[in-house]
Amino acid sequence: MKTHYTFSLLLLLALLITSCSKFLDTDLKSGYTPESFFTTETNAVQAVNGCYASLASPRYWIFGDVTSDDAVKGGSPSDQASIDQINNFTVLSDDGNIYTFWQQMYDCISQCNNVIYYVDKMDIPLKDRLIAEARFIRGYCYFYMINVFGSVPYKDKPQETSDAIYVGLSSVEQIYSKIESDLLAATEYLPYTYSQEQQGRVTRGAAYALLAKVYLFEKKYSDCLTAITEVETPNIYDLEPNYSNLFKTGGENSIEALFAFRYAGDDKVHLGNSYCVYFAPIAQSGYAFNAPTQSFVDCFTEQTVLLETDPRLDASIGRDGHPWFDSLTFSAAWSTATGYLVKKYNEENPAEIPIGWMTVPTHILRYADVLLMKAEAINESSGPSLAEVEVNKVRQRAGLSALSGESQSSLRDKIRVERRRELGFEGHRYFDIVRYGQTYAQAAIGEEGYTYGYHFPIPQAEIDANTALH
Amino acid sequence: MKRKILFLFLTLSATLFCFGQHNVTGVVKFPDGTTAVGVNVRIKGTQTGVVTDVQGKYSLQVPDTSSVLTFSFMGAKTVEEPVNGKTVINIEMKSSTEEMEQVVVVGYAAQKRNDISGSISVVSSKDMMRVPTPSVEQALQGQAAGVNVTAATGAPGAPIAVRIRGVGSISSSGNDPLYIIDGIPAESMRSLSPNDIENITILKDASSAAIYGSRANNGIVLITTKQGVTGKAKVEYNMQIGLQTHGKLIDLINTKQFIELYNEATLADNATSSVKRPLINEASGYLRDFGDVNWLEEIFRPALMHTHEFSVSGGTEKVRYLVSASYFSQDGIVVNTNFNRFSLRSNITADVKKWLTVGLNVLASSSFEKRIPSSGDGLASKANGNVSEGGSVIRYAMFMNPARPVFNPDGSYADSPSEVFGDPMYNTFFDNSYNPLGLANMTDMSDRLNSFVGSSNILVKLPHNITIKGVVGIDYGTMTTRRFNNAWGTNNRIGSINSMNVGIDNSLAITSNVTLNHNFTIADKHNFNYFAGTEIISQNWKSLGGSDGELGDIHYLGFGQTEDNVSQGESDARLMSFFASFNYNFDRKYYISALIREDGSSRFSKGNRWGTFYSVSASWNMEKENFMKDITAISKFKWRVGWGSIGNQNVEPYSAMSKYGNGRYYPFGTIEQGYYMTSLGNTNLKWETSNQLNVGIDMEFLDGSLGANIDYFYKVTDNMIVQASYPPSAGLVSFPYINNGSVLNTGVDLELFYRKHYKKGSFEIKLNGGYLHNEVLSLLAPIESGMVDIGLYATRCVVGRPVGSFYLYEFEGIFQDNLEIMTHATQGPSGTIKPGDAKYKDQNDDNVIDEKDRVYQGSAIPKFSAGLTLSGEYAGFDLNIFFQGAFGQKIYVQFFHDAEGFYRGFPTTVRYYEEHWTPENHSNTMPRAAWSASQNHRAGTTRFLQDGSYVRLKNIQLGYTIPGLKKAHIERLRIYLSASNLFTITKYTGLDPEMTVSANSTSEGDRANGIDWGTYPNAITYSFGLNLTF
Repeated sequence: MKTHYTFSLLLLLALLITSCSKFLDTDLKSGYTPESFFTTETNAVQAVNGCYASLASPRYWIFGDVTSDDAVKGGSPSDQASIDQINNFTVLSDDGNIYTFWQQMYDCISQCNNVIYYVDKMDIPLKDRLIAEARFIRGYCYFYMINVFGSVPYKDKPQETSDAIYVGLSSVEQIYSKIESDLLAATEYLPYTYSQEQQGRVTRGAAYALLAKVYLFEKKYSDCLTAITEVETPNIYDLEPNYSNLFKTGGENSIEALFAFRYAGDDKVHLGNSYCVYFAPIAQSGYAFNAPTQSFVDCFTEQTVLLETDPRLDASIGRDGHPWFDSLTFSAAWSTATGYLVKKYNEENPAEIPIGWMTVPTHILRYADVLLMKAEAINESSGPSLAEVEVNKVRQRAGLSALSGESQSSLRDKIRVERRRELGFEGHRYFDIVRYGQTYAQAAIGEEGYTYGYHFPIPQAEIDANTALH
Repeated sequence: MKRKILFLFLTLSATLFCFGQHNVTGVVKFPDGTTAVGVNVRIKGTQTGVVTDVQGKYSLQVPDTSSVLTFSFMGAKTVEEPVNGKTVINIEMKSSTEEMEQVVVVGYAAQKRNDISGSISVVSSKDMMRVPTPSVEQALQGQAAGVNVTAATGAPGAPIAVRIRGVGSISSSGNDPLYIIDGIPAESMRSLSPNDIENITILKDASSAAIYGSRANNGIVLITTKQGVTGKAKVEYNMQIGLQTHGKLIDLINTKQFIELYNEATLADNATSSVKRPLINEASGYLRDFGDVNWLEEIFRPALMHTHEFSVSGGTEKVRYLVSASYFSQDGIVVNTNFNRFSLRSNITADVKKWLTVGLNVLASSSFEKRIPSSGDGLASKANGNVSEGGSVIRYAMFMNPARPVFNPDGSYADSPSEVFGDPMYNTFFDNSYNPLGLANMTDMSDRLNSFVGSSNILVKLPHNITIKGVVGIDYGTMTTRRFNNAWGTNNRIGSINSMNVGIDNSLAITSNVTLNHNFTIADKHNFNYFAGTEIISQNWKSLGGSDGELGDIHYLGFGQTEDNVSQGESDARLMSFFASFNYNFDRKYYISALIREDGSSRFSKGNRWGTFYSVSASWNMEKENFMKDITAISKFKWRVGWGSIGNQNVEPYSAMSKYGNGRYYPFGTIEQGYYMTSLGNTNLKWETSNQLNVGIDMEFLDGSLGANIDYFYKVTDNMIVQASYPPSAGLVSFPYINNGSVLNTGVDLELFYRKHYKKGSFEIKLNGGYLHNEVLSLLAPIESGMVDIGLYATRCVVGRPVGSFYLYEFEGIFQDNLEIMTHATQGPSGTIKPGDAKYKDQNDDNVIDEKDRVYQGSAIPKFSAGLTLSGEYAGFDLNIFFQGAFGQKIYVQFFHDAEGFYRGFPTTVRYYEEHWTPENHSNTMPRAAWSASQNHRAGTTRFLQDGSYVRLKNIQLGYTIPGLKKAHIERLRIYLSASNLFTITKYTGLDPEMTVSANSTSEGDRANGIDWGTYPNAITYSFGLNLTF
């Protein structure tokens, strides 16, 4: 028995020696933790790049266009049928599109928050600019969110702790002031222009233009005009002479483009615009979504000075018997929903690349929008005379006659029509309709489910899982 | 076993040798009447002995008439027979299974079955081979009470879910048991042929499983592979060849019926919709000479399976060996699917010294699986990070209109109806969904797993019954996953350009453990055993993946024109453990035992690494009491009780850390890489633990011919490791694992048997059954899972309900008229509901149907599961009949959603066609035909929820052992005919009630079970086989 005990003791000793706790330390080999990632400027830039990628979500059309009087869901009747419920404002809180859109927007906000938090701790030359880019993107997201959902949780910290995850609702007013401070801060550190390779990043001009838009929505007209002055001061923006060139690959680099979602492809990655698939005819392997309405077509009654149809109509949509791309003639049968399809996200495709690879940009802010905002702000704050000049710049490009001698009220109506014609299917119409006020909104939307002040329901999953909302 | 044999030899060598003169002769036979060749006949207590000859005869000189003879044979019960002056002693060796049940491997050591207080089930090779199956897990199906085995799908090589005593956790990977092959944990069971297995011990409760501590939560499956035995070399060859066919398919309407329904829906919709569809009739000019294709029949086919197994085993006094090779091949009953496996195994044991035994077990295997996407369509992947498999071939077959042709005139797969019939109208008429035969054949998806599993062990026998055992094992596997998508269809709309993804995943696990075991007895009746040990497991995973596109004829990475990119990853996990146990019994009558294990895991952050797990148990062999002595009818009456706390560390490595990853490219002037927070970590994560109580009785009556084991268990899993369900405002980041909530599994396991031996035959009835109650006891917030094709999560985990409870609207029938619509709660936007529409119940009486009206409707977890085996032998014939069933589980049938919701241009079931509501036919089961009503008809309701209970004749087998082949040097030749899945009794109207998780929900695990997207059904197999032994 003695040997046995000695042996046991020896064995135990051996075991304890091997139990060196280092054995249980395993390093993360093929990946970064936030701490190991935010160590170089290159990495910090790439983290900001991730925010842009997240922002360029392909779901804005549902809220900007389909909900408005410009478009219906389109496509095969039962394909994405629940978008019809968004269109007629009867959507329930457990809807998949509502959920996915909400999640996508907060994903972008979250990536921005991470950049703002972690880059701030770094000591790199580009620090201020990178944070400014992220603050612009975050501001853009919240601006969109309050216009779709009203009061939402305002999250501005990395969601690594429960108090950053479980956040209650903030009022629209509170969030507006946060958006303003994000954009004001962004304007301070963003450059007006970038080098060729960096084109497409947020510029100071874009930040002022978005700020102007935010002020316009808040009806802070003089602030809006101040911001627009800052857009125009460096004198780098102008209207693209040919409207339809904006909606071709390369349109994102137009003198008119302040900020656009960009698409590109090389032999490694194809970053095509999903809209090019979503809105294309089914025969071209598209889904024929976002079908333009007759009401949209009808707002183009005004003819050009040469007594032709406003060229923006056929640049914006496909109509029966009118040319489509690749020598095809559009047929109303391509769109069973309305007989029309959006044309702004399609282009000649001689190489017959898959439409999913098409790189037509999605404009977010362009100078024509700024001019019409300016006209509106002037008209609302100081009357029509100076405002007409700005509208006329836009009308002139379209070949329409110059306005003069309009009353404040008649010019207001004309600006609204002009915005609709100029900016169709670029995601503006619904938000414009709503800010024009109850009378206009109810007339334009005309859906039974719609009452003025309507906001889309916050996803049920958010209500269930976000304990701060209980 | 090894230890026992060693012990036997040591005992024999240590005894004295005596002289005497008395001749004994006899014949040794097996219970089936065949002569037993090579049986060791020895004089007890000596080394004197002989081996029976080919006629089973022996002749032996014994020293005196009071000697005792021992008859021993591999796998058979050793028989002792006193000579008592007899000169002829004929012996019948008892069947091997009884012997196997005597000593079972539990944990790191073997124990006598009767000495075990915990709840275990033992499945012998004989039980398993009754049903020829490709996988070890399937071989367990219906064999042990409380062990529920279900294939995810019926596809060859499909993963199989084994749930021991319920669903202990709501995490996605946390419910599989731990598999141990010959002492080392195994990553995958896919490499192992069921034929290589001697027996399987399933440790079901804490008192038996606690020795595996942190990995024991879901039970342990201990696999002992076949070993050689001392004696004449035995050569075995087993083969089986089978033909598989599909079972009953769903009746879908034909073209004529479809057009009829289409026109009915068109008329209904044209009345209200701004979009006017043309009718399909002579007048419209759209009526063509359409075909009539049964798409389900198109994708199914009869398929072959065959298996060949060859083994040689034997041994000398000191070295025992077994080598085997096996090949299994199964074509799937759906086109373009198959599975095959080739494996080699060798087990060698050598008694190199009196005190030292060494052994080596190796398994090398290569298996290949060709798959089609069959059980999902990638829908839920968007929301839950699942890997998309693409469209389900079977679901698409149920989508396809019978009028759509399979092939174009040029032999390619026909696609958009507009192309085929020359008018875009046909796209909406027939829908332009993918041709399922094309989908199956134009996608080339396969896995190859090459694996090597080896372990060497050393057993040192020290004085005073002390043994030290060391095991070192390697489990290495390389899985190559390959997928090639052809570009096809109209304008190559499917796939756009061809593309290929290849992934190579290497896994390496090195295990080493050392245990010290000591047995001693004090005062003849106090039996003690204790053992202590340590174990280290080091795991490493490496992955390499790449993709390419626009490939030519050479389908290898780098030969394409676009998108070649690579990714690589590596991770490690380690486990270090110390454990000890103490067992005491008094006179093999009263038993107590205690176990403790301390585990340290690298998966957790420093402060949470170590966990302590333990159990205590006691048992009482009541039949040994004096007051039972006279009750001869009761041969065994054992009471058992055990309690313990065990764990689960089944969480991905590095779960404590947040991670930044790339892949979000954005094109500025040039395309740039984008990084983002991909996952959140949790430094507070710790073990999941479960506390389990088990109370059981083992009874045997009538000399062991009738028996029953009954176990009651109560098992609470706490601190479940679950992925956090943060609100969607947390973004698209992968959420961290947190400790959240607890789940109860409680129930009763029952095993009954009755066996009877006759002179020329025997029969046996074995029944096992388990009742299970599963309930979530606590949870931070309800967890939604199982998204179905309307964006609705069909299941929920919520306190007071089973894991993954269906949470649906309740279907109440059909609105018969406008009055009923007006008086019913508002359902959908006003004016949209019409007579003939499906009606849902207003559960909360608030007069509106909204998400508050969803109610819990049961879950996919069976309440009862059972297996029944009837077997008999007579005059060389043997018959086995095996039924298996599961009861009380629900299945949500996604494809009735598609086919009975009247949705796109999809066909529907004959049932819908016949029963649906029309103004003339006031059905109360199937709504009217109208696309405009599909939003309402497709709602996630109980209309699509069915009872998944079934009883299945898993296997029936008739065999015949051909006698009189001894002269041809054939020891045994048995031929048999077998049929599997011959019939199923079920109310389920889908293809197969035996299914678990769809490919859409693999990352959600048991939370999303029971959603049938068109699951690959199990085949009916008719086979012929033979077993040959030389």
